[in-house]
Amino acid sequence: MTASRLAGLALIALLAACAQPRQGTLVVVLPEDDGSVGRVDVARGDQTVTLDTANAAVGVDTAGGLGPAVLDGAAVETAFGAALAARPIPPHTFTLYFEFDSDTLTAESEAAFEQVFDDIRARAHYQVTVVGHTDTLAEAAYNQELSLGRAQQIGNRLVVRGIPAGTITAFGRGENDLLVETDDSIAEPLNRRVEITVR
Amino acid sequence: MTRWFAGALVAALVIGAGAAEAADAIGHVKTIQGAVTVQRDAALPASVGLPIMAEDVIETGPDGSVGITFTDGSTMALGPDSRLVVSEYSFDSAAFTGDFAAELSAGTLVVDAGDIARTAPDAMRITTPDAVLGVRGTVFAVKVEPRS
Repeated sequence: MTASRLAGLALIALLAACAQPRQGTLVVVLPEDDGSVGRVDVARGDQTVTLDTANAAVGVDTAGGLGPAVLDGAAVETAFGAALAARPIPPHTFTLYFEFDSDTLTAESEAAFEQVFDDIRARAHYQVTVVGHTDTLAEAAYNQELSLGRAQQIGNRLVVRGIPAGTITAFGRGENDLLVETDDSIAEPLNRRVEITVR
Repeated sequence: MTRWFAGALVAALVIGAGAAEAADAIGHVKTIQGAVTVQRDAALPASVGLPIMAEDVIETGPDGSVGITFTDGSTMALGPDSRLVVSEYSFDSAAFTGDFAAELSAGTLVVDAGDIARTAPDAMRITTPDAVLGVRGTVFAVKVEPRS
């Protein structure tokens, strides 16, 4: 084989490599802490692959080819280890309950309130959202005020304990967002609550 | 929504500053390793607590990684040599609904989707040079291979 012929073959190989689609994007769905799995639809043009089982993956090449796959734990760690290690502490939501027509916590919730501080202390940086709620006894306007009062009372107690006010947002949802669905004018202790989210 | 107000003047001033920032902040940097910049009007060196705004461009260096928590409870973490643009973000914290679009043009991204993804099937979208991801929830990872 002559040198020029070799060069010709090399050129053909190079052109083939260029035309070959390259790995472009890899997507993998991961199980949540409780083992449940969400769903991601990966679309390219008019093709879509749905990923909804643990470690289901799809590779999309630069030419638009979709290649379904399953990535085992080691492969996930190799591809995503640094990003996985950088994940923030997930937001946590605490639900605390109140006495009837009051911004006083029930005895059980008063004890549980300490867990909020433990959670805050575990974070290098945090924001806190406090959302107040009521049951459907009394008028909606009164319940709006009561729910805001509950949220502000809890916000105040966080501030008194040294949580900077600028990190706290408090608002009331009245009887608009029931934990337990009831008709109007129904006493329901589980609806007299605040939801505190630390993130 | 009623923003927080306390009685003391000093506290009120501090809160005022917090409220002004919070009006625009869609998230905050929570974890950081190595070189990470946020491109806004200029390139800001990122640090824990830095507010993130809509249209920010977040970039990590070869040794960099960063974790961000958004106001809807979503978290995003970038590995090394990554570039993410938060192209659209809105969230109604009373109704727990909103719209979230981001573009990953390089590197690795791990997402834990929050309230916005529960709003509607196409409320949260991630685009890469090769694909569009419609996010229904919850935890997933995306890698964009180097183009060169």
